[in-house]
Amino acid sequence: MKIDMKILKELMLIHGVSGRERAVAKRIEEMITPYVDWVKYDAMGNLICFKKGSSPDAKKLMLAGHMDEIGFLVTSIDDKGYIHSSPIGGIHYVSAAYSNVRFEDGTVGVIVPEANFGNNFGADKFVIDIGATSKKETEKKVKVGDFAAPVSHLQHLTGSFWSGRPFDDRIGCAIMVHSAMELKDCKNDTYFVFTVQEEVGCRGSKTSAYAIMPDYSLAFDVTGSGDGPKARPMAVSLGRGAAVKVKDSSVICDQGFVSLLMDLAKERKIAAQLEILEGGGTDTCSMQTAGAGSRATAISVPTRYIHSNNETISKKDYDASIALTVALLETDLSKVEF
Amino acid sequence: MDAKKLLEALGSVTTVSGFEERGHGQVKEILAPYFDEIAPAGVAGLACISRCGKENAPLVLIDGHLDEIGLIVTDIKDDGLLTVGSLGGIDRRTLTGERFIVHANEPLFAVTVKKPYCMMNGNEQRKTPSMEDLRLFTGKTKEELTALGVKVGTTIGYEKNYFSLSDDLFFGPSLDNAAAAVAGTLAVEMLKGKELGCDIALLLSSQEESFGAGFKTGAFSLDPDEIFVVDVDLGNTPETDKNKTVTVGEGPSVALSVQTDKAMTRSVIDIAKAKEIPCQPVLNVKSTGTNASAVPFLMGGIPCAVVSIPLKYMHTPAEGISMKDLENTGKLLAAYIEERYGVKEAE
Amino acid sequence: MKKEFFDLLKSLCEVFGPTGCEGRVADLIEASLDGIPCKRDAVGNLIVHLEGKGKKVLVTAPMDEAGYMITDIDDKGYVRFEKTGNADNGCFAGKRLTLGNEKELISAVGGVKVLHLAGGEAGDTPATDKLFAETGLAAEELKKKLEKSDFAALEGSLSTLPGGYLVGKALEARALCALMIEAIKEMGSKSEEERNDLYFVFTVKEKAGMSTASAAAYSIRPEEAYLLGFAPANDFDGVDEHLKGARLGEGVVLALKDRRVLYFDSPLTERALGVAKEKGIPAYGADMGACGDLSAGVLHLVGAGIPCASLRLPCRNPETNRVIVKENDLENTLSLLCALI
Repeated sequence: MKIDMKILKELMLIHGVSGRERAVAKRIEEMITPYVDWVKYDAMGNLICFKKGSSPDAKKLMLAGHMDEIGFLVTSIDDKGYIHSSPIGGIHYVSAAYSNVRFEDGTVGVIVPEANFGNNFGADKFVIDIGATSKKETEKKVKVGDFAAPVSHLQHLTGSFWSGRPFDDRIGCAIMVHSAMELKDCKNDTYFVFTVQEEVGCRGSKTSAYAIMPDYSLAFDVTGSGDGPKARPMAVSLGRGAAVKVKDSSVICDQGFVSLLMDLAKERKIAAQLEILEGGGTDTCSMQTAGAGSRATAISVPTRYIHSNNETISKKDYDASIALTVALLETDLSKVEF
Repeated sequence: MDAKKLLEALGSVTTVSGFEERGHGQVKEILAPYFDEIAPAGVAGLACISRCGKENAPLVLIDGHLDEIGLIVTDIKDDGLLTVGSLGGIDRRTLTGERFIVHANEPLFAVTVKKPYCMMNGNEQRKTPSMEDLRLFTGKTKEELTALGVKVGTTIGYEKNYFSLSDDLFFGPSLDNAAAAVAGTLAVEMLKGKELGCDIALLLSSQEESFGAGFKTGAFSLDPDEIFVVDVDLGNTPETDKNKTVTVGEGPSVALSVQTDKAMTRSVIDIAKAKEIPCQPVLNVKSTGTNASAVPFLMGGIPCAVVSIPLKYMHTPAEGISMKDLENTGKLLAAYIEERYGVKEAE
Repeated sequence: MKKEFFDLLKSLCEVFGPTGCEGRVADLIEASLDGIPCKRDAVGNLIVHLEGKGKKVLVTAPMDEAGYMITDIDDKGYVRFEKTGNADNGCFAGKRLTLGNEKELISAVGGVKVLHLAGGEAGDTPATDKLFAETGLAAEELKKKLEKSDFAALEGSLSTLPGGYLVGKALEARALCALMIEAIKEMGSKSEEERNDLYFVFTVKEKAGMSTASAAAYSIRPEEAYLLGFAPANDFDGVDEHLKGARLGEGVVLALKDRRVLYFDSPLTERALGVAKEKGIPAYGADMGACGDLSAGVLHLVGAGIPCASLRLPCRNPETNRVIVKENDLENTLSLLCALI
């Protein structure tokens, strides 16, 4: 299979802060509908797409990638027209400082710290400047309750490396879309679930997993790596393949499922590495604990500078993740012994 | 039934938090004689069930978490030393010069190594080494370790050494929470031969020490009518606050907390008094720090009480309990179940 | 490694002998000397004199292990401590201990405030006055056997790891005692004509900085002194090269400098390195930083001054209950010592 960056790029450029994922969902729905049996939305806005499995004892497999990205919620506008905001998700203010943000309607501004911010990089020291000179002027374009996100972009670096935002987690969504497209023989009853509100506490996956009650569940997200400059030690590197999650700070994954994925990777000659993420949680935990529980793990794309304006990945890992997912979807889980 | 032997047998099974399935076979074998059936329940849990023989009987769930604290391999360095992370709240102050077992294809002994104390400067000497400062040394090379199946995610557990310091005081790793499984089994044993109107399930749940996935899912799948969460409680020693601890040797503790059911808890304490079973009611106002934290979010609402075995030196390789306390915990559970579900002969 | 040597090392490793209470170690060494005469001096050092026609040479090895002195036994039977040397309090909680004196030995468990209540303290090495231990005995009973000023040490045994490693308690001292016993036996098999006038001193209270070897040296007035000690190893992948200290398996360390002594200007150090090279015994000089061989500090200043060299055995985890040494380092240290004396 030959995967280009088109779908990923298109998904990255859509605005979709936590709680406002509708536009992302619409586009994914258009992309995936021809390849699945049905699609629906649940009360929270999760996009659930189902494809029936060919196995006579088909197991329920839930895949989840979150559609939301981190951003800013407008909380007040001052007399000079500056916009004050609170963070949605884990905003990295060092990275946000002096960068461009975009509102849902396309209005662009810059987010800047106050002159004497010192070492305090909290939300209360930052304002968004859209170039308006009064509250009234600002309010023509932006009102309290609007959402902004750092301007999204994607660019090629050297070799297989790409940087941009938000890879977290449009890359997970893109892996799922590509997998649905590439899939030849879907063995299991597969639910492609594009979840909402992951960045604020894995909320969308809780309700969708409860509704589905899967036997197996697999999240798609980004993970850190140990190869950034003076990075915290971690046995994950960019370019070494899809990262199969063993543990993060919200979940310990099912050992059997992890082994199955690693064995599949070996068998199909797909690059894969094991991942332990010391800081950070994913949708995996809510899927593991829904109802009577499921065997859960995640396929992660090793990423440097997560939550910054220049998240960086290797396309090799993206390709490997898609290949590994397709391999799993074509494996009859009812025949696997754990 | 020899409680000490059972405790040592269960404690010796490898059930590192999140990787409990590895020990399922052994646990089943050890507990099979005491229960009617043992089956998987929820995420990596085991439900040991004792049936009363009546249809649609209510179910009393006794939760005793199966998992123990341990370590996990995060990387194999070029010199064959392992870097590790913790699974559950391991006490880093106990990690110097400690022996562990790496759960490779064959068990491998490993010793923690760190920068020698005499090479540290004052600041370093005053700080407990971080997990990143520690290495595990097996004597094997990276290639040998890889060939033996050691990889990122391989678990590591304490070497299981148990010992007594008196007839009553018993020490060793992972008594948290093997003691609870023994207490639950004792209760089931004590109720043998009595006519009951309820089934009893001892749920050996996973991940209590880490993310709690096992209790939520296990309880969901069993759908019980009442829940006892049995765990261990902080035993006082020098340096601890009397108000935040219980006393080893003075009976099980019963938690008074917003997480537990007031009527059920009251009834447990009353029964203990009536049957002269020593027990220590203890205030855990906001949280019991046990699986009971998940009960308020469980299905439609289930009454729950927390009964714990006092234990000293929690999360060290020498956790210590009183065997008398353990027996009294079993007695108390049995007394409650008999009182509430026992079928009284018609007079 | 010969079984006899392993057994000797094992018994030396296991015996109770914290600083100030080395009697049992001395007894064990005496019993291991196969009848070679020895005597004890006024402070408790064990001295073997092998007369010879050559020059007067002193060799020393410490007998004591890191430990604590009992400062209190409370009403509930909990015991409190003070360090007698440079013990690492990070190696105490949850460990099995032995409490004792020259007569009694009692098993105990070391404790600290439990993790769940420790708050910020959990990230600190426990202070000595926060440590305690329990024996399972009631206070009254315990007080019949032990009193303030008795001792405590970690419990431990000797085991092996693949790759030729030995793991055990107190090896940073007792492995040196074992080597010195071997050296004595080897020298003892030679005639007086062939050997130097050799004094071997197994010293007490080394970890307390008492330098009791100097007492022996004062009366012996040797022309040369070889001090056996340990070299701490921090030789892990990822540690900066200059901070690695000694390296296991790469030979004997000749201390160039430590907290108290400059060895690099000693003719003996140079000679030792020369002899090692000539005999093909791996050896290297290294700065021991703040890790002092406390004996030498005083020894080299005794009387008119005694030339010293310090032969160090590389150790990981020194002064813990699981010290790690490598067999070939032991062999090389013994070979070099014998060649030198």
